Amino acid sequence: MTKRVLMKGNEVIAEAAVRAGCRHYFGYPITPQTEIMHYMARRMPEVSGTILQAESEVAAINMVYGAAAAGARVMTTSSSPGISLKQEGFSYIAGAELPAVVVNIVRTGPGLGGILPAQGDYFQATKGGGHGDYRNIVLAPASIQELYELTVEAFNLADKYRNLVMILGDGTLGQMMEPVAFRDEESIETVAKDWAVSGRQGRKEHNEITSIYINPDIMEALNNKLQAKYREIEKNEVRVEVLQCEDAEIVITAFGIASRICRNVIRQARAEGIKVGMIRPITLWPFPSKTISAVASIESVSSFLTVELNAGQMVEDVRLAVNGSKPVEFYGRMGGNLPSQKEILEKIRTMAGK
Amino acid sequence: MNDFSGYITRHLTIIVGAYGSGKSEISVNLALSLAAERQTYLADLDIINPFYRSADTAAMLKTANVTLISSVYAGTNVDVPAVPAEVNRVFVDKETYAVLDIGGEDLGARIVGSLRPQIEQCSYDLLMAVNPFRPYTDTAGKIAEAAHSLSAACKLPLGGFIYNPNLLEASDSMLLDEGWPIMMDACLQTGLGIKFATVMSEYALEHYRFLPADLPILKMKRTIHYPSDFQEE
Repeated sequence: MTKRVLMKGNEVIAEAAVRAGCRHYFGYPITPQTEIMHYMARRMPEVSGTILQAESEVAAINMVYGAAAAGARVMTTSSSPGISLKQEGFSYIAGAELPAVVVNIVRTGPGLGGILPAQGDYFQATKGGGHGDYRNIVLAPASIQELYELTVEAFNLADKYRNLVMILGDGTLGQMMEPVAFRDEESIETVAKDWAVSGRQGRKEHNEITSIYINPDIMEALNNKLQAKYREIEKNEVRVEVLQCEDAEIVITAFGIASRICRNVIRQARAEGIKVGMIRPITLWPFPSKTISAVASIESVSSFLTVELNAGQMVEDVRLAVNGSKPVEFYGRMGGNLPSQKEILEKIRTMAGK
Repeated sequence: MNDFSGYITRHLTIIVGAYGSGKSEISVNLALSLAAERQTYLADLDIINPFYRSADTAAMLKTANVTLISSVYAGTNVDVPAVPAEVNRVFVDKETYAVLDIGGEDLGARIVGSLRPQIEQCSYDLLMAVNPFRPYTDTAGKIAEAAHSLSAACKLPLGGFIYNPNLLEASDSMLLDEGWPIMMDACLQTGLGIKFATVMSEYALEHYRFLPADLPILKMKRTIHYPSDFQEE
């Protein structure tokens, strides 16, 4: 039997990273994700890894750039205001095509905001807060077990595509405890990093990692290469959970912790005779537009309801996917408050005319 | 809530432990189980974590006649470590029970070290909460190491363990037996005994396979909750 352990989301992220072969962690503490760093400070020496508290978030993300350029599996973690500071680095990492894992345990904003959970960084995470045409793969776990699975997966995806992968959690996921079962051994997909700046290794030319190209044609060629890669990711890497949509009248779309709340609402609504289903995007980019579009074409589906811990961000992508074929409504809470099952059920009753 | 006053002989019960070992939940439940017998204080002295602290249960404690002492910042989400001056009341009011809920790890336990002169004027039990299902304390060696660093930070010897095997929603009646061998090993390594064990009320059995019949068991209910109702029903 796999040994059961009770862990906080933040602790699981750190443990999963170490298990996935991450030996370099650079960060700067911020609530509600500081336990990641705390755990790393204890764990990294056990595996001869490096943990460094940088002087700022900007420094930390540039250390990530450096370690990734040298071919290491590397991670940084932060929460909303800290992630804003790292955005410049994300853009440089995209330009230099470096594999890196970043975790955002989202708190409320804008500004310094508060330390309570939110999902207000969806736009920033999926549309790119930094400059230029780039995309980060964004994974949205909804349980502690899934945090473990997706953190390991994030390192594999980052290496596979030489791309930044972000885990987008929220303060609840970071702070809550649930039992987790670890595998005895991780399936680490090692990719040859013959592009890394780790010495010439017998090659005539040295490798170069950069994102500066003055010649417009070369710069455009890089952009075309990036776009081709992003299309490839969109083709291969969409992850989505579809729940009871076959006969649904109302389809909820929700990610992360919001989907956890909605899962119970589905049961309650169905008990009242309102057929509710749910689409839960696990990758926020690439977004499961095709799945949503397909569900929208099911005859019984009369409308969609997007539930988020923000003023309505993912709902824009849902509307693009539904493309006007069915109405898409929204319910959200902000400021660190979470929508309650009762509130969502009330909204569903209204939508169903009951 | 079972009356636990028969098992608590000292004025102060100070609960330290590794991060997330159940200190606050035990503190609240213990204070609730003592309040019927004598005036009871609960001092939330967590200077580590702004979340899931015993002060979150203020309303429940008030109803049960437990006097809560906590930082003015507790429950405000202002992320500031602060010690309430009012804590000094518990060192003066000696004809009472006082449960001191301390923040996690040796960092959190430093507050005990700084209060040592006052604590030593009282009869006290300094106890370490242990959940062998947490990663920081899942082997006897780790428990012994944590006990050592906690005691050093407290500048006081530990008086024993509180055995708190817990997997939250995934808990079952088997956990008390499942974690027992690790706990026994930890006792041998440290020379410390187990003051009492805890079990969530819904899993309380009359008999456990391994536990000594005379080991006091605090039957607990979940008092500190997640901010929303997202748990599976």
